[in-house]
Amino acid sequence: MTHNITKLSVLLAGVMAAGIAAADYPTKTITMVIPYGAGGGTDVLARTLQPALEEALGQTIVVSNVPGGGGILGFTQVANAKPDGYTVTIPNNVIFATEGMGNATYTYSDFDYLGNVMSEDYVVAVRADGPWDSWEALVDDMQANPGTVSFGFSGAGGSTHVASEILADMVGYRARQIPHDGSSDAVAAAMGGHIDALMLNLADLASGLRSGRLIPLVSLGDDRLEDYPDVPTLSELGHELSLTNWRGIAAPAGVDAEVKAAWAAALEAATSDAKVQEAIANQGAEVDYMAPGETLDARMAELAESFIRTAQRLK
Amino acid sequence: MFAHFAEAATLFANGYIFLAIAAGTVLGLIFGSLPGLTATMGIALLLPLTFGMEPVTGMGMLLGVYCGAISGGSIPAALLNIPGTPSSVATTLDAFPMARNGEPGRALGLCIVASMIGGMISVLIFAFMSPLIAEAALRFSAIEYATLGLFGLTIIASVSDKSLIKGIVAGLIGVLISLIGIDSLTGVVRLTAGIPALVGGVDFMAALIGLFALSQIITDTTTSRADQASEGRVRVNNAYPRFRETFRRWKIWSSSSLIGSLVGAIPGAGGSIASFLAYDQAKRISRTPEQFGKGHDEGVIACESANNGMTGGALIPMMTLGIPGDASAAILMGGLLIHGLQPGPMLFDEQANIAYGIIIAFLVANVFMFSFQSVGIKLFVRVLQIPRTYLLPFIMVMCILGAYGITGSLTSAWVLLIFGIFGYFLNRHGFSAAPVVLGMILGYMVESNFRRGMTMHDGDWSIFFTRPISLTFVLLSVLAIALPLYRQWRNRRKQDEYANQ
Repeated sequence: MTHNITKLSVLLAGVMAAGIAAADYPTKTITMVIPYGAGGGTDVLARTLQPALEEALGQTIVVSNVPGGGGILGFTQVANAKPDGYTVTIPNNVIFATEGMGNATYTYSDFDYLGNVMSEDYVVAVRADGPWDSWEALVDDMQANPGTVSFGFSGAGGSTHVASEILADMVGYRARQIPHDGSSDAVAAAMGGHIDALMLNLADLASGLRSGRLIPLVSLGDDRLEDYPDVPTLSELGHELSLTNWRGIAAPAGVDAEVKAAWAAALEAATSDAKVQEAIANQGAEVDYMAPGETLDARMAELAESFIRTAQRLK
Repeated sequence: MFAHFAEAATLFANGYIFLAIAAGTVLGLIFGSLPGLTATMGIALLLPLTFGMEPVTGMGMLLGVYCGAISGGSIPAALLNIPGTPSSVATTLDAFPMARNGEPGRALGLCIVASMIGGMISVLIFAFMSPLIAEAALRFSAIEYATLGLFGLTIIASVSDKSLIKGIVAGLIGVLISLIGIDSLTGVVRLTAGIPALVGGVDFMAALIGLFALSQIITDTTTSRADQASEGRVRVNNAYPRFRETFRRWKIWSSSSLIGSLVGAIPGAGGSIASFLAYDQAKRISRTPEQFGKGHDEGVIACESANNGMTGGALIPMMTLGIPGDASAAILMGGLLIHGLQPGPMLFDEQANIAYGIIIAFLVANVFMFSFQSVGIKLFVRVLQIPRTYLLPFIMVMCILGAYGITGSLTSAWVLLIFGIFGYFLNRHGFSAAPVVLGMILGYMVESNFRRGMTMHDGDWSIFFTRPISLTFVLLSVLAIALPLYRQWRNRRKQDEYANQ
């Protein structure tokens, strides 16, 4: 019943639109499809980037929320759009997870990745009044008593679900996996002590961690978390696994080189903007700009492979 | 705490902040009163404007939209039987019959005062009881959500006006509709008939507008032209805020506002559940329950004080826990995050000025909401003076625009049309739309939380009876079903005895 967001901002923004086009691209308003409701992490990122990108591209960007199906509806709309660079989206690992679950009609190669903007770490946290004070203690418990520790994540077939499964396989434990209706639902359950542990992106855990009701145990990123320097990374604990979520810009596959170049320049400018960096840091993530090209494509392919493989097993 | 309020009040020395809140409230009233535009949309639309403002000014403007929209939703609900927002669905049950009986001014007058009371009580609860209520809200696990939803479904009995069986049928149809889409527990796509656009479920707003607005338009255009002449003349001199009439129903507004605030504070429950629960409760404590559904003032007061009571409640988990209570609160939270403010208990310590300033801004928004509506009431009623031949096409266009605007795809417009026709036939065959809406709101909530609860507790059923909150809801549900049956049985026996004598 929730998530009814308007595209009406389109109308207003369209009226106010004023931009001078210098090159062949862009010459008109660009629609940025957000496959989630307003107020979520992706939406906030879009609205943070919007002014800087508009300045760099010289065109109005219209943020259009198309929530539903855990992102599937919005991503489908973009995958089926004309690859002219005037329809873009902000994807993340969900694209791969939904493909693997078989619910989506798109595949990850239906998108051209125009640049990575930020990355944020998956973090495992436990309720503060539980008996676990470290990741090792939690793992020992889960291995000694398989299927007793309840382990929450955002939604079935979503990125945190797949990441939790990858983690369980890698480390070798069995927990009672509890899918929720979105990340704030999972945080509420853990804060109320109804589930023992949960895996989410750091930003989604922020309110729970700062209230002291949840404690972070391990981060799945390459480096330690800036805000929680005492929390080890999984690789420090001897597991060769590094999983991060990312958010970037993607367009339907087949856009011109000109479009890619325009976005690369615009994203580079936007991500070096101090205001943007601060706003992203406020969300608990960090700017991680990556230009379009082979490196980015290789990274996407690697993430896609591991997410799709695990998600297929979950079906 | 009062020192905090006094300090935060200094932020309001600047007149600009009042202007922002007033502008937000006016926009909210417009959004609320136009079917298809909701509080959530209004807030999302204004969100980018707040980036450049001071946090309290920006939040004040958004809160103005929130209050205005929830309250404004009652205007079309009362006058046209078209709920302007999901939380004013229950308002149509009594406010519209009252307006039909020739008292549209009175219906709106009651709505306005009841909204104000609900809003003010929720401000007080938000200001002084937040930590307590947030703590209680955290006790709700999947088990409690499932049983709360179950209790909510028993309300079908009190909102199915003529036949209980038809009410149950309509409710179950609603439940089935709510299950369309991806199942959040397994990720499996259910009941979509292979239509990709339904993967995300049936768009609730579009369905709601269809069920109420479009079906009403079809009904109105197909009914005889004879009553059109009488519609043209509407008395506007009885349109004024009804203070005395509202205040004397103190049992109704106090309990409904409280229900609204408490239900609003449970994340994910929302305003429409709050107003239905309050309506049901009012009917139970009323001395004249048989008048409900026919234009009873108690029904109007209950719904409107509950849905505005919900606004303050929904802010509680958002501000004190960082968990938004509904979609609107989620965007408000996004607004805070953009200013680098992390909602949660720390906000009240580290950024006391802002946290308490937001509470004051919320109070101001409620005052504006009431003032604007009191001034505007005579204008609103005049809507009914517009000839239907002009009014109905306009509403129809607004509905389709609104539905399209929700997702920006024509799918929602189709959903609107299909539900409009469905709603028309429901009405024609003596089913009411309210149970369908209840089923749509509660069906998925009960189903997914029941299964999640069972997963969490290894399929142990006894958990529903060993947790106090859950047990309370189970007992309330049993009572809600058993009492009317018992009463019916007793009445029948009395009649039999009477007949025998």
